[in-house]
Amino acid sequence: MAAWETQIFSIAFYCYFLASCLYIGYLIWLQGSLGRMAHWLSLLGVVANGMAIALRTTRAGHIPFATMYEFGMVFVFGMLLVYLYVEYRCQHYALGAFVLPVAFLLCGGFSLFYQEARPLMPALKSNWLLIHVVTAVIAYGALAVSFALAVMYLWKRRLEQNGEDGPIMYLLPSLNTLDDWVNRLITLAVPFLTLLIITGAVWAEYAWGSYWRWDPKETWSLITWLTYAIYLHGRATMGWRGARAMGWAVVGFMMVLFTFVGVNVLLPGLHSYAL
Amino acid sequence: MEPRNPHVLYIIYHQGREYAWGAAKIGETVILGDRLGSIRFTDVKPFSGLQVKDDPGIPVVWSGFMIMAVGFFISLYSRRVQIWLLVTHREGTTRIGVAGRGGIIAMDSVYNKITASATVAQSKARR
Repeated sequence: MAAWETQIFSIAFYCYFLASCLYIGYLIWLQGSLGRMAHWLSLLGVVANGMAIALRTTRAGHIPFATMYEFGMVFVFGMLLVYLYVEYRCQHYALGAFVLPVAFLLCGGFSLFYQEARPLMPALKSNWLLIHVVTAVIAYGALAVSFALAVMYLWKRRLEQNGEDGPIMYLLPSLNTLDDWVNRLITLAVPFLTLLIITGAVWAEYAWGSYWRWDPKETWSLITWLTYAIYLHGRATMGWRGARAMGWAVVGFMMVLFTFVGVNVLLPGLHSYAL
Repeated sequence: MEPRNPHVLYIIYHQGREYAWGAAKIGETVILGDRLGSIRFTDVKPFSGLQVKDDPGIPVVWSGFMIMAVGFFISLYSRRVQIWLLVTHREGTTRIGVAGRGGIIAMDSVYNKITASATVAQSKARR
């Protein structure tokens, strides 16, 4: 069973890799067929990813949210679902050239943290696990896509500044469309980020006896939240648009990554046995 | 009550830092790794830990959480567009100034609608 699960997850990984290559190839050779193939490959990757999650669930006997590898699987799955929705709404295959490489790199990164499925630590045996982690998947999935699109914005802006006028400019969505989607994804994510901290606090109260202990994970999730709060305020009251707002979205996702990966690796704390 | 499928969770510390952890089935030998040898738990004795706590602040905390969560969804998920129109008549011409806030795409579509209807109105007026 273990072999099956890892193999199916590596199928998802290869699908994401090939899809990234094809999406980038689509931008280089401007062939619509490459974009369509990349689209189907990402769909296939999502299906394989979902199957790997299901297998892991049956094998571990609990929803696969307990270790970094398990959460990583679900995180990339959530990210791809958000991306496929955005692609469907925008009808732009060009977006994939930035989103899929992020998905593929995350996939590869989380595979490094592979652990055999184990029984849950007693502190994690709670219904809060599901709620807490589902909010995390929605928030982080949307933020990962917003990051990729913000990078795309900055890239396209640079092309425009360099006076690029080739056919590629017609394939890329307009700067306003990208700006609008990044903003939409962040506003989608922030309430879930808030819920993530709230459910975490409530659960910590049940499991450890205190809402908030300035554990590194808690501190960094607050920093992430504040970063996006600054983004929203900058946009609403100080008129941040374009490059400045996009730059901030990129910084925000760096915070997400540090909260999620850096804290586990560098700063020991109460979360260290899990996420 | 007999425990179903009992496991013992163990954590190994090395110089004060967590080194490894795992779950060992009762009666099963677990090899811990380099130079650490192996370990086998032979039996479990059931016990309960009780925590007694009185917290009169819980309703306050919960309502705070609820208001915060609901407030965030309402304030960020309602799409609002604010528009100001400034119409000035001077010497037979009408100037319309438009300002607003909201998403760029939303503003664009509002602007396009206004200019489209203004063009229609203009052509009607000419006729």
